[in-house]
Amino acid sequence: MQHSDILVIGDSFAQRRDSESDWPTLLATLQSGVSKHARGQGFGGASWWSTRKCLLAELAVNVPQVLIICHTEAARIPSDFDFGLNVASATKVQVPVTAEHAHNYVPAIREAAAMYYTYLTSSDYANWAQTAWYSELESILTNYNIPKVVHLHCFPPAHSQNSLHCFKVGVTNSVPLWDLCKDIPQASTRNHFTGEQNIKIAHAINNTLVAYPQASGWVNINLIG
Amino acid sequence: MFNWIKNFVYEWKANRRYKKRIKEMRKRDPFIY
Repeated sequence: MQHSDILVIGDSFAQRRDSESDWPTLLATLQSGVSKHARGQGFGGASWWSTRKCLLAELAVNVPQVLIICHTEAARIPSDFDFGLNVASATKVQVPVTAEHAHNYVPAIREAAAMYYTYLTSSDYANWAQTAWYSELESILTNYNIPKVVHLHCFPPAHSQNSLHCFKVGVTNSVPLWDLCKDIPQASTRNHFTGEQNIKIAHAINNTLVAYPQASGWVNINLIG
Repeated sequence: MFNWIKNFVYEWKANRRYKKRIKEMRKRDPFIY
């Protein structure tokens, strides 16, 4: 398989890929035998809208053989500039600013996001919009006929009475990534996991791809052992 | 005077509701990036 045949997109769970042991990059290496940054992008703190834009742009370049997609929290603010303005980065007092999150240098942007989350956001609308995106994604995946698709939910459903979405196209991991990393101190993690866990995640997804099920549905990938 | 008290209570209740919502949302989406 060519290195460009593996596409990994999503949010901060798929963001770090500049080290060869970061799971997106290691997975691409395991699949292709070529060691370089995985194709695609993870948008830290950003909405599923950024993932959608990235997917459509990548599909226009060429259709991958493998797609790994991390589905983020529904209520994040969609942005044409991929701003990572989730409820934490908008409303917490101390927020570290990196080059890719330079928008957080601009007080007006953070303030607008904080005001949005405080007074305007609608949880029901956000969930409805994300479900609509999931339906559209299923149509896109059907049209492009990508042979292997792995869906990773990053967070539990917003309301406890709801359940995670099981995609009609591709396999869907049944355990949200958040459940696996919520007890890990985040200060020095990459993609919210330790270095060792990144390696385990890459191998676990690789094993799933090697023994890829014939039918779509739930899988329980033993991501961190 | 009565209106002023009414508005104050309404605003206080609204702010309490918004703060609770932010707290719940932060639990669901705790990562900064």
